[in-house]
Amino acid sequence: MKKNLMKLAGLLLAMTMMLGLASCGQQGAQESQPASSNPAQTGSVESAGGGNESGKNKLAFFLPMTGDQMQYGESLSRGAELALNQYNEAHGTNYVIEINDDKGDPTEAVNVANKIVADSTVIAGMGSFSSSCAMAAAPVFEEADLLLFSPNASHTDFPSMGKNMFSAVMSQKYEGAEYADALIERFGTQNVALLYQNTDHGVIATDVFTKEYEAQGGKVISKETFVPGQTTDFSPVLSKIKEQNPDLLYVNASYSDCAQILMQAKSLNINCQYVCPGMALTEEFLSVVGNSIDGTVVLSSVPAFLPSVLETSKLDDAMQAFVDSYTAAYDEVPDGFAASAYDAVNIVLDACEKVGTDTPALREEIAKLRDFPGVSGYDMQFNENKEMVKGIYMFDIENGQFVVAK
Amino acid sequence: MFLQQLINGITIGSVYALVSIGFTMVFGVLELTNFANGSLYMLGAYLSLMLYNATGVNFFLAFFVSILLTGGAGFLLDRLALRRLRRKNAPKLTALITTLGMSMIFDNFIMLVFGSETKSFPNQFNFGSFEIGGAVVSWVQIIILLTALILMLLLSFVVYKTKVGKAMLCTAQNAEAARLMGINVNSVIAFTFIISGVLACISGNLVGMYYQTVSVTMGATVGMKTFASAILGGVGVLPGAMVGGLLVGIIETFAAGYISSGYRDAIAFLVLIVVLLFKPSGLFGSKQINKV
Amino acid sequence: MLEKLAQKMVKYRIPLIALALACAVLLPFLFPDKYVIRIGTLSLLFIMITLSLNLMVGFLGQMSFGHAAFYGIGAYTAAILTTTYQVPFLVAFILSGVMAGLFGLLLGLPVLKLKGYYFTIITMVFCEIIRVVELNWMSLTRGPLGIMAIPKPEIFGFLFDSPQRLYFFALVMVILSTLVVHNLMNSRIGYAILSIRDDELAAEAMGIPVFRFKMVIFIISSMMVGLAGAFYAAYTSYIDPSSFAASQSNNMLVMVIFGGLGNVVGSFIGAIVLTVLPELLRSLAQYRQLIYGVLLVVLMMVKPQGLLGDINFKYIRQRMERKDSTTEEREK
Repeated sequence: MKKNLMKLAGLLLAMTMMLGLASCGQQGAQESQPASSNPAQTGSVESAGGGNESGKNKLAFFLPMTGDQMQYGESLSRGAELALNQYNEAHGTNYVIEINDDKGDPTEAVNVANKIVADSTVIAGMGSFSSSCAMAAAPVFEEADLLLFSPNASHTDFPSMGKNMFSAVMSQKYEGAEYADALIERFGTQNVALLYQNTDHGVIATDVFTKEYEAQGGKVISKETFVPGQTTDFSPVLSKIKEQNPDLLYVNASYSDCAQILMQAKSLNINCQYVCPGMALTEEFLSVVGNSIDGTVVLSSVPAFLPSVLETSKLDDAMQAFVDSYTAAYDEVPDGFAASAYDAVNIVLDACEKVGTDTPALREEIAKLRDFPGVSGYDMQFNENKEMVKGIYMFDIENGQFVVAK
Repeated sequence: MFLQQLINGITIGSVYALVSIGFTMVFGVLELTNFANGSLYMLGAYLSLMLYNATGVNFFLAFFVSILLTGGAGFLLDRLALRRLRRKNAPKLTALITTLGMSMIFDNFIMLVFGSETKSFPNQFNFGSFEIGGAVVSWVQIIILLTALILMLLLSFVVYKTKVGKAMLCTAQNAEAARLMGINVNSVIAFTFIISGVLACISGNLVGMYYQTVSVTMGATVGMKTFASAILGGVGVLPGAMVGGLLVGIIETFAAGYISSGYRDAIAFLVLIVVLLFKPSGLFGSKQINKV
Repeated sequence: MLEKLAQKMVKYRIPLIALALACAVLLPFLFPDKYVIRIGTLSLLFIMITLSLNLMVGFLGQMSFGHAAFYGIGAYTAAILTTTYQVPFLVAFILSGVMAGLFGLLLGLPVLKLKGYYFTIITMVFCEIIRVVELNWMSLTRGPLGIMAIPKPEIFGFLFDSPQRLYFFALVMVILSTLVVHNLMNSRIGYAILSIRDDELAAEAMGIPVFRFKMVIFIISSMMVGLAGAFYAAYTSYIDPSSFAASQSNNMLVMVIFGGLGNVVGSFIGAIVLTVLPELLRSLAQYRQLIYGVLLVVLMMVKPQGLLGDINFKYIRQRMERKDSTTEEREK
């Protein structure tokens, strides 16, 4: 009796362990299942009118859907969804997207990347919001020879991490330089103080900006940094900057930090020209700063779709259509992130329709992109290093609203 | 610049002091590092913003209701989770992990309801600013410092002079003995949590008004500084938390202003470690005696 | 119930260990899927981390919130040595353990004398200091840009380049660290350490050099997690400071407590469950973190000691052996 019990317990334990392993493996089994039943799947896709022959019809996104970067993940996923639905409708295709959460954590991003490359129906991985996540995942995609098209990674090194890496946003290498030129064109060469967040974007943009600005004869008199997410009071740094009497204060930070910095600068009576990056082009930014920092210049590589901007400037038809359909679908105005994701999906799907879903053909086709009529910028193209370059926009803040600079 | 930096430091420091007073109370009574303290602070600010936006009546009415609600949240935190753990005689570590889990629940709940974007917060104390010796001081800065000071004095009075306060001190010393002396330990602890919730709510709202924004991560932002302030001042000592908070703020500011803005937090924390080398129980903490 | 199960586990420990080992070895062959192997490897990595932290928290009774700092130090040492200085992997791997241990020594000297919660918060603060340094020391760590193209592990010409090979590398690390922890805890030092945890003053009175033994464990624990960090760097080939933040320390500590303090088997279970669980919850998207929090609170309420925290396998074994011998005697 007692022995039997023991045997039973032992058996139970063994079974739970096996079950544990199986449940762990089950996902894998699900992932790899389409591989074994590939022919049948392809058939069904084709009969349903899918425009490809290999059974690949999925764009697998990995985005921060939880955690502090959740808001960006949401915008990106909405832009992507909209693009997909419109594309399928217009072309009679049945591509699908899958949104995976990576929490903005590089380790999790690599987990998801492995899940994505194991799925044989995936055309391309699309992610993530932060360059860290995209770059941590890049080797996985490169090894699996699968396209990784990021809607938002602007790290200079990202495109060169492998032949499959692309990004829909302008590489920081060019963005910073264009901003410097634009500022010199408008204000002449001056003494600039830089205050940037300690992220890949902040560091590279500042470096590139400094080089270009000083090459053109301007002077960068102070460079200060802060750790984003744990700094709310910038007055110590700003007091230091005030001592140096800059003509121009260029802040590189997310919209919430940017709002905080500029308001604190104002209350410390730092009287100079303020400049902030496109990240600030949000409704929330305006609602925080009100009209306290009128006269500030915003530089951006993506357009702004806020109602106030649309009143003063005319969008081209494609952008207007995008704004209308986005607003109809989600009851809010799209931001630059949504636009970038929208373009990313369109670029990849266009290429798919042209050359099929084979990775080598696909990446060659995408690298050839010139003068893409996107909604996230103008003159969009990939240069010879497959880095995204496009034109930039300049806005002024007037009466607490963004207006296109003349 | 020195004077301006000093003023900046005191302002940042009074924010830390505000939050760490509530934190150090729980710390003192329960010897519990309450990770949910920052979440309550955030919750308080969001609740009054929500009530204000929903009703649009009067900000201070919304503020008052949210004080009650956040106090209630503090009570629930204890009643639903921590009291059960005490009954089971669970190790202190378990309670700590529970507060960590609770703070995840609070944060993600707020994030689901409001989204993770930064919200603008109405500034009800917009009285402008004035200059002394070339340094700019705003009235909100003074209000924050005064509030911290008043709350500290008020709490010190409650803790050291009233009956409830004495019961708290007894519980802090030895919960078992306190129970034998007829103190209702559970009520005392519940009271402590309510107070810490109320304090968190007040400080959350004041800080929200000062920076005119609130965000889900605002609790995490001050979290570690709060711990550092409480430790620097000495665990469970209310004036200690106040002084600790001010010191951390001032050190941080001077580090950012004169040494390196990137390393500002690291320098503040390094100073903390050095202080603890010489005063292992903080600046105002009583020397601990090893009991056999 | 659990107690009985534990008795069976003790009774059948040898076949059970063999079975677990067999499962672990067979996993990459049964499920050659990259995703499964990735989760498997990550579980193994976290088992090693959890074991090392359990040594500090469960056995020594020092609640550390700064374990991610040593993890980061290990990872950065390995990454910098193998990329900037082109040091062979094995040397870099060992040096990262040494470096993490060195920092453990530096931190331990002042901090191990502090009482309970002071220690907790100082370790937390230390983790933050290290992260800020990683972020700002551009010339060494490339700050937020991170270090790219870290070569895969290579030992005596054998390159661990496929997911399977890396999995087995991690498995060997786990087996070795389990042996280290197990043997350490069953040695004289181990008993001394348990006595320090239970009553420091009494231990000192018995002539145990409390501080020195605390130091030894602290350093060993830091070294182990440093080695795990070095493996992580080589495994993912791209690191940046965001992987070594305070939240990572919390994550590690939760694994230890979930499994049960001072329980080696618990560390295995905690690490595996909490690595696999978020993956299973992934489909819940934005509710994931919320549900994770609820699960954590509920578990703490139901089993405050962690899953296996109140089970002492060694005690059960001794008791069973004693029972066996008495029944034998009676039969005689």
